[in-house]
Amino acid sequence: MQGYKGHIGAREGSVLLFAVLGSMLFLQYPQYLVDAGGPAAWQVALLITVFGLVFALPIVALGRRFPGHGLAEISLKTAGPLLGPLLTLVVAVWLAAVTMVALRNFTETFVITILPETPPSVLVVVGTGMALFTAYQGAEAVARTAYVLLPLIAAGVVLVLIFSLPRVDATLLFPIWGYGIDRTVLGGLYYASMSAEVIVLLAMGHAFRDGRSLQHSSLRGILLFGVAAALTVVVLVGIAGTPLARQDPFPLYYLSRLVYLGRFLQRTEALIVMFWILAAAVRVSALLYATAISLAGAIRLPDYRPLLFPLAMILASLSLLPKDYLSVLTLDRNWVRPLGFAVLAVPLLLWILALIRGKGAASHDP
Amino acid sequence: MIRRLAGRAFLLGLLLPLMAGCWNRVEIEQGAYVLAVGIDEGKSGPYAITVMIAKPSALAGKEGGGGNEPPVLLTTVEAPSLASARDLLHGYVSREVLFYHAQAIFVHEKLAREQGLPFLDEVLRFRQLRETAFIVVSREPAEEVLRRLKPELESNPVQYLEQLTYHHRDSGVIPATSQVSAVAALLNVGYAQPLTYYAATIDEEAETPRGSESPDVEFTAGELPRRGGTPVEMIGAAAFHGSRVVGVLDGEETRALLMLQNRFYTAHVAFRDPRHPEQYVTVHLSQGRPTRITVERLGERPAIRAEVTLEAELVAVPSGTDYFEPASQLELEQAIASQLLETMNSVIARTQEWEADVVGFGRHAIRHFPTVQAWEAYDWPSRYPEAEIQTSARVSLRRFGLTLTPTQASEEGGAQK
Repeated sequence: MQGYKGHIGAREGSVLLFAVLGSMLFLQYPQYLVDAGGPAAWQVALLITVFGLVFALPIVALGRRFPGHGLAEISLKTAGPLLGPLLTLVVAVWLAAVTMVALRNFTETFVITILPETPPSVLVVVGTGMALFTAYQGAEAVARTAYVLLPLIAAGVVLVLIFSLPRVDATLLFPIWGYGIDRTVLGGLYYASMSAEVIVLLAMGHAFRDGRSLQHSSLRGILLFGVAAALTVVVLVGIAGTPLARQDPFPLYYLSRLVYLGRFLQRTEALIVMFWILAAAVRVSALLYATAISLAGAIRLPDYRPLLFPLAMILASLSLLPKDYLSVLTLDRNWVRPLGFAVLAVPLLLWILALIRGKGAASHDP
Repeated sequence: MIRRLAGRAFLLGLLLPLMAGCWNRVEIEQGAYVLAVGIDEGKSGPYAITVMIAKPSALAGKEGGGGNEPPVLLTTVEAPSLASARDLLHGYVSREVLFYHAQAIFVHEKLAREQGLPFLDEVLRFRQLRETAFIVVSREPAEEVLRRLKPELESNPVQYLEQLTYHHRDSGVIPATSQVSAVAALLNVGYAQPLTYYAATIDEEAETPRGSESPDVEFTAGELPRRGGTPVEMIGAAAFHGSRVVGVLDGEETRALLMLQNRFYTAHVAFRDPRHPEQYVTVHLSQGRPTRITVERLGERPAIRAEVTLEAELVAVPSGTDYFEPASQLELEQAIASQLLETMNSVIARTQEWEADVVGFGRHAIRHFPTVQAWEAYDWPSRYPEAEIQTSARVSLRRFGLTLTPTQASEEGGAQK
């Protein structure tokens, strides 16, 4: 039923997921980890990776059982014509909320840090336009865009972290257990939904070459994100200390402003902003595509493209609704992130149903 | 196909103006770039804010070797914050005042002692100011220091200051860092108290010589025994307890502190000659091994041991004593270590009196606590003044310069004494 069939391999898929998740490191998410773990924020990052991998297992299992199928088709096959589309709709609504928050979040970040005079609506329109164009080209275009841009984004982030290393004061990473092991584990569990965007890969499951590609993409993407998140919070806490780091919603921007190698290299934030734009473009494009394809599947449309433009316009308009930056953060932290668990429960439910009903490749059911 | 491509290119072209961020465009010649800021207590407003604005044409002219025009414009306004000072400045400064290039923030010691650093929040929050700017506490009002900051070797006063900050590596007489980011981080974590650069002006008209009557070299800002040069001195450090200045360390004490902090690199230091106490031996000191700080006991009264290991090279022995002899070599090593220990102990005693762990012994104590809650309950800042701190210094005379034995002139010099 999807309008575009691609052939995303494991490498492209893992890079796509890493770009979608990794772009969160430019935003307030490292602050969440510091808030949960204090000096032990890196432990929270590692824990969300472990929990994220566990939560991704049903997606991997579904990918293996239903190679070449996306979430909407899998739901339909396993949960039937009534519950199936409903479950897909739940995922589509959550993805729409994430897209909306991401759009506004990046917009606010640009306005606060580098473009204070630019009307947010202009940035929202430009961001939506970019995402719309890429999403219209299909899953493969989104994945390839991420694949092409990732080296640039990664190099930008890695360079900032490397140049920040001389400032790291290891003592700031003590006491070693942060606020206590119990709080670290609970924090890790609570923010494990940071990797709930792995559902994007299942939503575009039809575009993967095979089940193994989807499996490797999901697991590697989360693993890479976990390592990047742990390194980012180690450097952030090692420089700013817990009290400042837990108040800083723009960690990589903060670090890039501190890069100061005499007169030779400074003001690297100009560089990081460029990578921000690229990261934002990949994240919003992938999310918009996944939302559209899931929504199309939920309402049994043969093609997602007619939905794209109205969906993008609605999401762009909705993204301007929160009255201020704090409202965006509250919306994300108190609603979107916790609801990520509900979204992660969908593949688990589908997998259980597939097992019970004997659907999928394992049961030779086409 | 070509028409389709042309259509897409046209659409992309339409998007280009949106990418330029035109709302935030500032032409270089429309900006008045602040290089340094001075903050004093105000009379009509909360703060008297002095801005040092670059005059690019004059700076370029000076670098080219010509022009007598001052390279900077100095002006002071009274305002509640740096950002709001812009509004007042815009009453008579034609260009848009921008703080993006502000590299130094001078604070009058009186203000920093009485009110602390209340503007720090703005420095961390206001996007035009950078966390890499360094804080300098000044003995005199910041406005006066900025007015008298007329370097002779550099055309740009801030470049001059920046060059001075590099001396922590080759003289060790100023703190390793005084950047806003480092000060803010320490203010918030509480296991060590911040230090900043300290500056003072000199009275060029004074007839009495500056400096104390002691034969030891004076390392206090504003009191350096000298003639000529820029009338502003930046040496030593201002010590904080929380956000308030509680004391000032001179250059020699700052160097001892750097040794304890394991941030000392090298310096040429004069010590009293053990065989001829009225004379000095100059050595090139460098770190031998990383300073070892051991927390031996926590509890009511923590016990800490600090071991400093240095290497030395003889640079000047005016007394003519032959320190190449193993016995005299040992004597000199012990004399240097003992003089260093005296300064280190004095620094520790003073900082304990100020209740300000500027050395950062808390860094080593914190590692013994498993959680933040346990560390906070221990309340290190209140324990530090009572801490029992033992220091030891070991100096190894490794090299003797380009000659091993005293020169004839040195021996005569020693004999004459």
